[in-house]
Amino acid sequence: MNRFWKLLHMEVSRFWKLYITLFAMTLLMQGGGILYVCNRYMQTVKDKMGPAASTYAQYAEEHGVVTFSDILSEAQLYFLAPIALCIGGMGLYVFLIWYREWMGKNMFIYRLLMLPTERRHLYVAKLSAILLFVIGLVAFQLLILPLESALFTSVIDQALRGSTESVTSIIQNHAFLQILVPRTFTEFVMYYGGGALFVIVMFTAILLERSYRLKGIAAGVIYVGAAVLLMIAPMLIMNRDMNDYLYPNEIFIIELTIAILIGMMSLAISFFLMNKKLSV
Amino acid sequence: MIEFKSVRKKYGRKKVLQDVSFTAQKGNITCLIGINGVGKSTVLKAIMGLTPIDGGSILIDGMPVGKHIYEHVAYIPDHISMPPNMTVGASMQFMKDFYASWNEARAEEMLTFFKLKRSDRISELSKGNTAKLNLLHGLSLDVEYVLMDEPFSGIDAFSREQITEVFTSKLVEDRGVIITTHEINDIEHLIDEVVLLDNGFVKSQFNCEDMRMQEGKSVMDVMREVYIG
Repeated sequence: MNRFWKLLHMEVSRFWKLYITLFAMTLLMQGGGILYVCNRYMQTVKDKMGPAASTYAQYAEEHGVVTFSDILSEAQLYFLAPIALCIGGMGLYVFLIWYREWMGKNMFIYRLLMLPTERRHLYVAKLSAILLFVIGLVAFQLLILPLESALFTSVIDQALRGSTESVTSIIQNHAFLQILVPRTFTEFVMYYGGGALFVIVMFTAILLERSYRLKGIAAGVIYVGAAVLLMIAPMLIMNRDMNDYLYPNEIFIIELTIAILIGMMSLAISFFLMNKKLSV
Repeated sequence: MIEFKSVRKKYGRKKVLQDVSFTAQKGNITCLIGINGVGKSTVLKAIMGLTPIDGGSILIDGMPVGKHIYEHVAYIPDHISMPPNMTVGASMQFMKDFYASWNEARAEEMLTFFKLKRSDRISELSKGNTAKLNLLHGLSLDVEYVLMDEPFSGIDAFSREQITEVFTSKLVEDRGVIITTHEINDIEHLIDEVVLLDNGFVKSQFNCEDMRMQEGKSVMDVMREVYIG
């Protein structure tokens, strides 16, 4: 097996337990939250119906039906908290995936840098692992949506439920899920390309720090600042001097070009640092 | 042959290697001697491309340092370079997966010789057993050169004996070995060449046998002359 794939396999294996924990946490918090909100809704319905004991159908006629999207909005905290934790966890892991190699007295970086393979394979394996983990988390979210919808169906009486929603319509009705699952290719490039660019730029900053230590921290901060400035520069110029001068798709192409340039420069700097400057 | 030519290296403002040149031949055990902090480990790391140098050049059989050397040179640092939660068996599998020069039969032989258990986690090994596993990782590679950084540092007498035995066995025979130490007594009888480092320079390089025959001096005698005056 190609050494890159072996490195990628190793990266995935090393994160496996934490990854399962993130899955479990998402499932438990979202599932628990939806169950809680559904039960609370049913209790409210029962309380409002009172001792007169009218039927659920009558209640629905008076107050309207509830959909899974409504429950999702009510359970916003339980739904978004694990996603935020996953994003935060992955954000931290962008750093940990490198720094753990230098941690402790058994520094693994000695062995990794002495592997008889291109050092960029190590970099690409770490980058691919992060991107795979993110895609995996999104896929898991999509997989558990029908399960959560089934929970809703099992708790809320049929008479109180609105028409069954497909996963697509659940996503379309939820502002944050629309970002996780973009509707158009342009949105996909914006959200996921942006995320990948963030990881690539942060990797460069980390490698600058690992290569030049204290001076590297300053270089890393300046590099990240410069990258952010370059990315927002078109917007700043547009707002100040060229209001409404360009069409949105033209702005998108300018941003995409800048992002590709930053990405390529970051990769070139990172590979150079890995080959020539990185120190154990 | 490993050629270290006018190598310079500084950490911050501290010049660790100012103008270090020496050669290490295949089939010889070359010992880098010097007090702590003199740059012995830096020399080995520089050969392995684990730390960049500020000047000079390093050649291994005439070729500069690059990914190709890792199938020809093994480095055994003064600590094991595997994650602590890995088992002995998993660490051997890792080496087998990545190195074409991994010699499984030799690894098994050393595993038995050192009485290590595959199922033990690296974090649970004693200092002596960790050093033995470290040695196993390095010596089970079919390489021409082996670099060892303080292999006897901080380990018990019995482990020391076992490791010394390795030096006189076929495991080291015919290979070029560079070993660093600041305690020469344990290995004086094993080494062929000595490189004395001090203040970023090579103070002296000599062949032990020649020194004994021609000047009647042991390595310790030469060290006294060089370091104490």
